[in-house]
Amino acid sequence: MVLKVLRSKFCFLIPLTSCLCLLMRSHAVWSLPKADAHLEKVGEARPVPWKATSQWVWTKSSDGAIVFRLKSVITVPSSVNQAKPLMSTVQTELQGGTLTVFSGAQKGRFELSENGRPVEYRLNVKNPIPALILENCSESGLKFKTTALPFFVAVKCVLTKGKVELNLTIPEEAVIDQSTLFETTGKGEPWRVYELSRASLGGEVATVTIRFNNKPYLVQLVWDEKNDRYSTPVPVSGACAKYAKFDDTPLKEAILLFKSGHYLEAHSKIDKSYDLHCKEVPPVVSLFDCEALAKLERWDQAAIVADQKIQEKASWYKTYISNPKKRNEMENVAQLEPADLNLVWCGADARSRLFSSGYEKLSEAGRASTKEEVMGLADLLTSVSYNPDRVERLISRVTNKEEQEKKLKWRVRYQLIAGYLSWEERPHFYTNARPYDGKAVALSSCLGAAAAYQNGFYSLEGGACLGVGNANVQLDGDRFDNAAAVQAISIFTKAIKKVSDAGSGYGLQLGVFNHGITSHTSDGSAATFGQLGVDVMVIGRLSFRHLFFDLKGGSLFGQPSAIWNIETGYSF
Amino acid sequence: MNRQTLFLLIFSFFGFAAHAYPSYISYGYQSCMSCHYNPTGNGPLTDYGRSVAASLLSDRIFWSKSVPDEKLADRSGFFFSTPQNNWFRPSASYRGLYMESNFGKQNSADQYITMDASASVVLKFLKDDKLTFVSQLSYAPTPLSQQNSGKKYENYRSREHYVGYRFNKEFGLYAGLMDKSFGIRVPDHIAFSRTVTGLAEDDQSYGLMAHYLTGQWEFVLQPFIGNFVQENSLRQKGATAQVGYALQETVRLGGSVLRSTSDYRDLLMYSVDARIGAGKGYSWLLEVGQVESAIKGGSRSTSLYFFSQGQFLVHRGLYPLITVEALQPDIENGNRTYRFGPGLQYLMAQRIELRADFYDTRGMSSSTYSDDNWTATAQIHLWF
Repeated sequence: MVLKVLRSKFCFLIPLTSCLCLLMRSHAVWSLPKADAHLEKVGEARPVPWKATSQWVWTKSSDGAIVFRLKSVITVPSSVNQAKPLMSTVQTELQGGTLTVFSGAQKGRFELSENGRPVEYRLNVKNPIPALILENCSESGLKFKTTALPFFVAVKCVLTKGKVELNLTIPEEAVIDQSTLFETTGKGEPWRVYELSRASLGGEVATVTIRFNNKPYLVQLVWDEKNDRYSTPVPVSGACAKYAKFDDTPLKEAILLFKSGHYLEAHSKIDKSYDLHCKEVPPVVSLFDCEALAKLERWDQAAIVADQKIQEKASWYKTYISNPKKRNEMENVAQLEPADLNLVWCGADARSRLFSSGYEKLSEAGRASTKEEVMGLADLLTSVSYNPDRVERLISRVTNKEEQEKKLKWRVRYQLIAGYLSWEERPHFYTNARPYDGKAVALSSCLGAAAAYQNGFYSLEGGACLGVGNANVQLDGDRFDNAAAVQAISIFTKAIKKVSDAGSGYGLQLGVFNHGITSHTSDGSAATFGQLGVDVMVIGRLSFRHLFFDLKGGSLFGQPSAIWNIETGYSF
Repeated sequence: MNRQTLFLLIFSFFGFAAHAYPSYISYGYQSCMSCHYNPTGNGPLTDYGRSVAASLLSDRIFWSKSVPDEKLADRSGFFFSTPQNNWFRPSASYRGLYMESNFGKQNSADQYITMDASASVVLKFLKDDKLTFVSQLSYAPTPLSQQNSGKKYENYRSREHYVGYRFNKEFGLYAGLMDKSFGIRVPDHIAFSRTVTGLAEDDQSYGLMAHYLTGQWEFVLQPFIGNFVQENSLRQKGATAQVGYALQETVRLGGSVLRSTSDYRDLLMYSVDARIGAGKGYSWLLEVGQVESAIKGGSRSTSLYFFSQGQFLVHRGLYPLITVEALQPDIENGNRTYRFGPGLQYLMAQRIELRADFYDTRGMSSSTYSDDNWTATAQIHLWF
């Protein structure tokens, strides 16, 4: 009763609160399907007997989008002291024996540390019934048609002034293959926000193809005017008629604001003065808005603005962007005018910057699709001989970012090494008769192995090698021996700063060096010497993918002159 | 090899030349012809070579960030100018060396030597500079080995003067006084690969050179008749042939053979070499060769040498170097000399090169023990 009164009294009076009011219209919108989930330890494939309760919830992403999540509250043993999500849509929170998991996946994975030992768990969701969860959408006449879905699809509609905002969530394991709608945020994510102008609603609004377990599922979005209980849409011609005689004054003012560096004001001017969905608004306005948004680093919005306008002229455009496989079948891609090509470029440029600057925020799938789109648009621009420098910049921005990210990844590699080293020393020999002081110059091979923890910029290595060789020895007061036997064991650590892409660079080696010499005195008795020393060497590295050469020189502490080493290695 | 011999070997041949170096293979420069008028290197730089030195290889410490590299390239001509004509290219060069032998020992000795003070003129004519005349007049110091010999040494001499004609981009003929083409022309004239082969900075010869460069291959055939500043009986006459093959953009393999004779000596030497680039500014030069020398009516010996030099870019223009060399003066006995040389080359600006080196010479004699011998050097090289 209270709800009814509130609704009848206030909803139509305060349009800006219409969203809230809509939530009150039907009890159904408050009732999400029952959640059914079970937790299992990966590898054991049986439920973990911990107390857990789950429910579906709407929550907000870091970008402000409304996303659908499974919230599970689990009571965990006291031995669990740390929780870490293993998927981008999974969040974990551990507080005093209670673990709260928000999962956006059919099988959300996370890791728990039990007594310091990490164990992987999986929160398996039983598909909700119905699998298609809609909230507030029917109020505006929007209906979704689909076949039976083996995964959840959740849409929350938010109505604002003249617009419907669709917040779509699919599981992280699913991918949006194609969509005739342009997302405003969430490119490449398992959640998207689409904005529909109420003025442009009519008949089939959109189709979205979702791929799950390698099978496509089609979701159709249609608008039924009879069911639009919220408001009567304004006819398209009516909304856009005012642009029939185009007034460029706001555009000029926006350009002045843009030139003075006031990009936000320039964008606001355009936003307030023009409805870019109207065909009557020329592409140059969209192009300008795209560039202003790009300056504001709102790359995804800039791309949307560009895409919307191009789509008006080129119905194939959305399919071209979203479905690389179909590109080759398209014959009319070149039917764009120069102004449109600038828009294509602006959309591509925004995507490439999104890829480059927002790389960390994008999911794996988002990165892949954004890159695919940039490359596709670059191909399109190349096919019509668009400014090659601009196109090259698009491509290189994406490839450079990928290279850079690849370089930042640390990984372990193993190396086999073979070297040749030489040093001078002052040995103290022992014989059965008496000790001898001596002088020696030694040469030795060194064969060994090392492990390297490295990324594209640094390599930290540790290993050991051992070898044999020969030395020239002067035994004081006795004889000169030019065939003394040498044994060497080196245990070393290296720190290399990589400079070239191939891995060449320079660095430092610190190691312990066990070196021994066996000579003979003039009476034929063996004279032996062995010492554990510390060596420090400067390294110059020349690297050719897996093969590298180290030229090293430095000091063997406690010995005169220098130690030199040429080493080659193969990195697996 | 005893200490005195080592000492003499080093001091007799100390010297450096060349402005653009084989290590620039790491930047993709396979052939010396990219930067030098002489297609096998050394001597005056072409306009392109000067601009590369200014805009790619040298540091920019005298220039603000706002000055683009293109502008430095424009000002890379003689005395900071842009060439005003197509046919006349003067240049000048000075190289001084400070050297401390027995470095760190009580008997250390230091010395400053003007290694080179030279002026060059290049005249070039016809389309694509097909016809070139190159002439250089130099001051050359008397080698220490000859300072007390009583022999007259020509301190002012021309180290090169020749005329060249390129029939096309691939093929050219050159005639006059030039360096003999053999091995890797490294600027370190004390390198065993330059000393035992007799190819140091004052070892030019009159001759004819045919140079052919196509695709991945480069060939040089050079008959020579000796240097006229030498007595006729001492002049080595013969021919040298060299081949280079570009395995990749920054990897080049080469081979050389030289045979010559004089009234006193027959020489046959051969080598294989590799220039390997491992990223811009990172290179490795390798050469191994043998020199068979027969004194007429006297002894014969075969020397084996190895040269290796790594270059490691740490900042534009700043290149640490690590050189490792070995020499076996006679392959019939086991005496060997190793030399390890950490160094630092700094191309401070296009016309200023600084270099500092340490040379650790280590003997492995079959009959005597010798401690390492250290020599420190510092050089300044100015060129305009």
